[in-house]
Amino acid sequence: MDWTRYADSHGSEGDAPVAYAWRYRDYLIRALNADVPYDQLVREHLAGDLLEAPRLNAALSLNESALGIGHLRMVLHGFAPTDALEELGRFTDDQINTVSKAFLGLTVSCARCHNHKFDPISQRDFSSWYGIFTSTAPATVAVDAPSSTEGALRAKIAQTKDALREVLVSAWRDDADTLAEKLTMPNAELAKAISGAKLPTALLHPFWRITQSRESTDALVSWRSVNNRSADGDAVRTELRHWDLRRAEDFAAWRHDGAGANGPSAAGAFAIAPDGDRILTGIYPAGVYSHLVSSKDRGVLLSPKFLLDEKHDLWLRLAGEGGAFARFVVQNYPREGSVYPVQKLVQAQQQWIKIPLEYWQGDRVHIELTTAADQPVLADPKATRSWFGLAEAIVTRTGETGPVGAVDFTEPVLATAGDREITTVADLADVFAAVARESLRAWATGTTTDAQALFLDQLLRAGLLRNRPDEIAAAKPLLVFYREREALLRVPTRAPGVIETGAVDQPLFARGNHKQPGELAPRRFLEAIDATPYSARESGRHALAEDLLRPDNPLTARVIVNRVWHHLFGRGLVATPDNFGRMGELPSHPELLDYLAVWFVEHGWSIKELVRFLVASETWQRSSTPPPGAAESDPDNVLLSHAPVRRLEAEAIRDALLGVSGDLKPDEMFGPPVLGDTPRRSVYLRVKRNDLDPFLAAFDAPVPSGPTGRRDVTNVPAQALALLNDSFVRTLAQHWAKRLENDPAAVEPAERIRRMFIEALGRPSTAIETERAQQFVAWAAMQDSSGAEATSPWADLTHAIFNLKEFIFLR
Amino acid sequence: MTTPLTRREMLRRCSTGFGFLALSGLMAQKGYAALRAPAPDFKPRAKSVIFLYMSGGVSHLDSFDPKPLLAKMAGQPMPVKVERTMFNKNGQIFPSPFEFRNYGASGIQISSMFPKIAAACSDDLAVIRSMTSKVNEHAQGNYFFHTGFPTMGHPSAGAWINYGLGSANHDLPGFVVLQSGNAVAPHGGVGLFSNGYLPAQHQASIIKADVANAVANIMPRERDALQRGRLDFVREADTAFLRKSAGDAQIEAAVKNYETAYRMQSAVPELVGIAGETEATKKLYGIDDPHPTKAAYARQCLLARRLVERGVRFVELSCLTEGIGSGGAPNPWDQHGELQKGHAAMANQVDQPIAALMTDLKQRGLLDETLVIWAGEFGRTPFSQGANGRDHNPFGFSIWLAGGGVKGGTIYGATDDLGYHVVDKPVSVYDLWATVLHLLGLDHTNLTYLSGGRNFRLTDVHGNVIREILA
Repeated sequence: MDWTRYADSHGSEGDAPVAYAWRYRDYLIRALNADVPYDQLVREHLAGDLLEAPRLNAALSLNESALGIGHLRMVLHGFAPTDALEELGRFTDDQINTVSKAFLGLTVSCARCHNHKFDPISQRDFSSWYGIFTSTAPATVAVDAPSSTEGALRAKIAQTKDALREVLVSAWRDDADTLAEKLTMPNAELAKAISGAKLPTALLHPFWRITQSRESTDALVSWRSVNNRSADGDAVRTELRHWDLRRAEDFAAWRHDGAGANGPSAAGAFAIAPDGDRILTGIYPAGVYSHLVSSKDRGVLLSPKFLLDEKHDLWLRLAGEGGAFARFVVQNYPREGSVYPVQKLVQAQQQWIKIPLEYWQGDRVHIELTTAADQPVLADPKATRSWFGLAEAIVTRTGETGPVGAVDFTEPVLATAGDREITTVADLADVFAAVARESLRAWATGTTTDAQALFLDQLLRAGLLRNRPDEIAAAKPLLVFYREREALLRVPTRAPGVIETGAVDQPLFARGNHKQPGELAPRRFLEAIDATPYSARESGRHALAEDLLRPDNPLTARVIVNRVWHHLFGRGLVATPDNFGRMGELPSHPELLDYLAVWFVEHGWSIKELVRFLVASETWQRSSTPPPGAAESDPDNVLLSHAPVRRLEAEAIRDALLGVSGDLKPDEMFGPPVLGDTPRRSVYLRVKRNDLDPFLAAFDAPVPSGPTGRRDVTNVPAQALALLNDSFVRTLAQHWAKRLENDPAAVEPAERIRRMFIEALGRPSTAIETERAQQFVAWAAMQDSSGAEATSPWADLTHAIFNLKEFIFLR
Repeated sequence: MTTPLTRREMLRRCSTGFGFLALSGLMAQKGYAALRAPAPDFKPRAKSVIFLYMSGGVSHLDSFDPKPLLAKMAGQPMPVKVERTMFNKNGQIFPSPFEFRNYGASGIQISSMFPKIAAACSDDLAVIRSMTSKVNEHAQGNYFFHTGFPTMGHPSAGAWINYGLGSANHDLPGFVVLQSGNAVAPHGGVGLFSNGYLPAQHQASIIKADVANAVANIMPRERDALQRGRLDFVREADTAFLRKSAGDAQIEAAVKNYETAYRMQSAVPELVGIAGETEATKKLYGIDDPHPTKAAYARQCLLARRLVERGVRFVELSCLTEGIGSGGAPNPWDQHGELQKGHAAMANQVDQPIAALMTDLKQRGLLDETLVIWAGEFGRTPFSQGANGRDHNPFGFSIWLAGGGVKGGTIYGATDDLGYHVVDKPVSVYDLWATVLHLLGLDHTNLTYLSGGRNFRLTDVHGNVIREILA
């Protein structure tokens, strides 16, 4: 995780979360435990989501491979940068820096502004990689394994919906037949609804108008005028871009991900309520909807990226509930901020919204719609149900009149009424009833228009079409059947990732200045190894993964072998594990490094095999006592004449404290991150960039700003102060003491002390140590503890043992 | 006959008194052996830096850069292109509600926000009216100002200076960040004070100027005798372990580290305690001022003097929030709304304490060897945000320097008549730090550190010393 600068947040102001970051951490733990071959892990880190035969986890029903790309999202993100292109440059540089250092031991990002000063890496190399990583967009992705049952379930749900539609058509015909009567002689509830229908956007507004006015006026007057205005508006609009997502061709130009929102549906599409006292959630005009099978389904819909070459407005005709997100994305920036607005969708009825883009003139943007748990940064992991529907997206010039359409459902009413003035309730009720019958007929035959769908939806919401299972007996079993099947559909497993957005080569930036683009650099590997451009279709991540692993690339295997060596011996054969370039150190044992790299590949890239091989070596098994003369001839022990003394890493110290105290819950693995006072292994602690765990930080846990192959090992008083005075450490010492004080097998003091040494230091106490410890406990028992936190004398001893250097140093 | 040592005697015998950093321990490790000796490139003019960081962004138009044109054009639209702002709620031209006057022999214009600074030391200031930043947002702006890079991971200026000069007092941390009251780290967090890739002893120690637990875990939770007894037990066992480990240098350093830590437990409260200061001094700073935020900032100022007196290289002070106009704890000067009220309250908090610090340093002859820097991460726009606020403006703003090697009574550079963009002698953060390093006797192009295959500098690949403000 150091190598890929793991973090749960993006840093900067607000320090927004990397949604589901922990799933990548869990992936690494499972992969290392299962000894997944390293070449496969490399592949997955670059392109796990694109593999034809991904690695599946049957037990967890996961596509493990797809989790590998999570590190691409662990970048630092500024807050609401006014220069979005610079931000894109910075976080893409962050991705390149991580990939090139972690896997190649090369500093490719040094070539952002100019050719590398020391290594054969050109600025063109940087730019070609820049094109690879910018041909994607940050995303929350699904990592579920394909299901053997889900397809059948979905087919059953589709059948159920067809059957339900028939039942509803026949029930609602009766409703339509009695509609005129109902509207003419409204019951108390309906009368109340009419009296509240003051606004023209209300279905019952014409009835309100008639009941309000004493003289005879046309009930439809305000609908007619609104409709005229909308027609005028259409006339003066410059539609610079118009995506009509009701059409398959337009939809095909967009990217989509997830089981929902995977294609346009015709007007009259409907969704069934997954719970509660309603049958349907709504009936919709044509468009792309995420919830027609289930509102658990995730939907991600991305428009093509487009350049704002002048001042523009964006218009979206959409609907959504449950906090689904709609926004425009500038230069792939995934966070929300002052000039990065986000719409949280909470309105089931379709509407046009206007989003000014004027501010971003000159930048590339795209449109992003996601269900509530699927926005890359704002995702709410608990929002298991939400949905959106999008029909059209239009880009106009700033300030132009946009489409209106909030009262589109009036169209069939006006068409039926014609030029005739409607001045009586009876007349008006007849018109409504006629429209209802006609709309239902269309709905039954699959020829619904958008306006008819909207009208039916209005009737449904107004309670003029029955929508409760106890009102339509025949619908009840179908509803129950749907809900049973729907409950079996999986809640998608989400993880941080990226989505391919179409391959685009990027220009060289003169001296790294993003405002001075030069010639285009085709996406490809490093030219020192192979300068062949990648396919024009894909971003190139997959090809890059294979190039990292090609046999004539000498670095990848050597870099990982060296990392493992570093981990075991405290110093790599190349002492700069992240830098195999000229500015790195030369290998201390070059032939050994070559040998191990070849051996490693021959043994199936198995990290466990490699570790086993190394720890079985005579070198590993040497004593830490230097042989005579070693201090003079090789003071830094580069030649490994003896085992190096090493301090435990921060996480190991904390885990040891917890483990020895007995508080550690070693079996609680995986899941969302926890805070430092939770007795779980440190690998599960939250890594919030602006609020790093102070205990781990004191013991040199790295700041996750870039890959760290070699941690610092410092010796600062904060470490001693933490072990002496931190209340967490003191509490653990007390728990440890109490545990042994209550242990019937450790009643006798000498035995208790012996056990303490075994538990903390892995060896029994010597006779002298036992005696000293007993003396100390006896002495501590006599001390005046007034005015301080009281502890038992045995806790004074356990706390002392935590402070032994032998506790944190390995020799 | 032997008598048990009192804590005070113990401290005296341990003589080095106070040391956060166990330098000996660090030096014993490979890689740190070559700690730079303090061998300056030039004759140093200053030994220490006090960085008065005005987090959130002080308006230059309301403090040190008077623009009469704004009053003439009040309420009119901006006559020039308006750059992208943070909030895009741009209003019309907004004249300063504060009045400017000329001060001192130099006649430097300072607004009614800072009457005490103006009266105490206007002729000591070198006001740079042409400061710029590349960043328009707090966290990135703070990182840029502190480290020369807009994201976390790079060493803070205070760390670089300690790395470059070495410590003037091995018993004290070289880089201290002071906080008091509700002050917190600016947006971006404590990473702003990081050593980055430099050795860890160069990182800042955060000292809370007004609480007993001034440094994390500094308060023993038990009686001294018990702790001492435990440490004796530990030391005896450690000595045996060290013997078995053939005197391993890392272990030896860790053992010594415990003595340092033990001494710190009493030395830190002594340092932070101001009992020894005279009533006149306390009054000068405003230690007992009825305004709690002002009193808290005054404590930081007084402690800053005590720290530079003892040879601390770099002390950064932290403003407290007055909770006005979106100025929160990390960004107290950030008046996107209620600029007049908010800036007046913030100025009231720092004016007297800073004036007192300048006066006190001068009286003690310390100002000649102490460089004082007053700056925020950016300025504010000449047009309003909403009704009565100002948005961020990184294109031109004011900071000032005073003290060691600085030519007082200087105005350097200029913004346009609207105070929007720099039009004369633009100064970058790199230029500022190049100048600061120069005054400390360091050539900024020589102060490098190899990390990840690249030689990094505080000034990246930029920076020019601003010679016109040098005395």
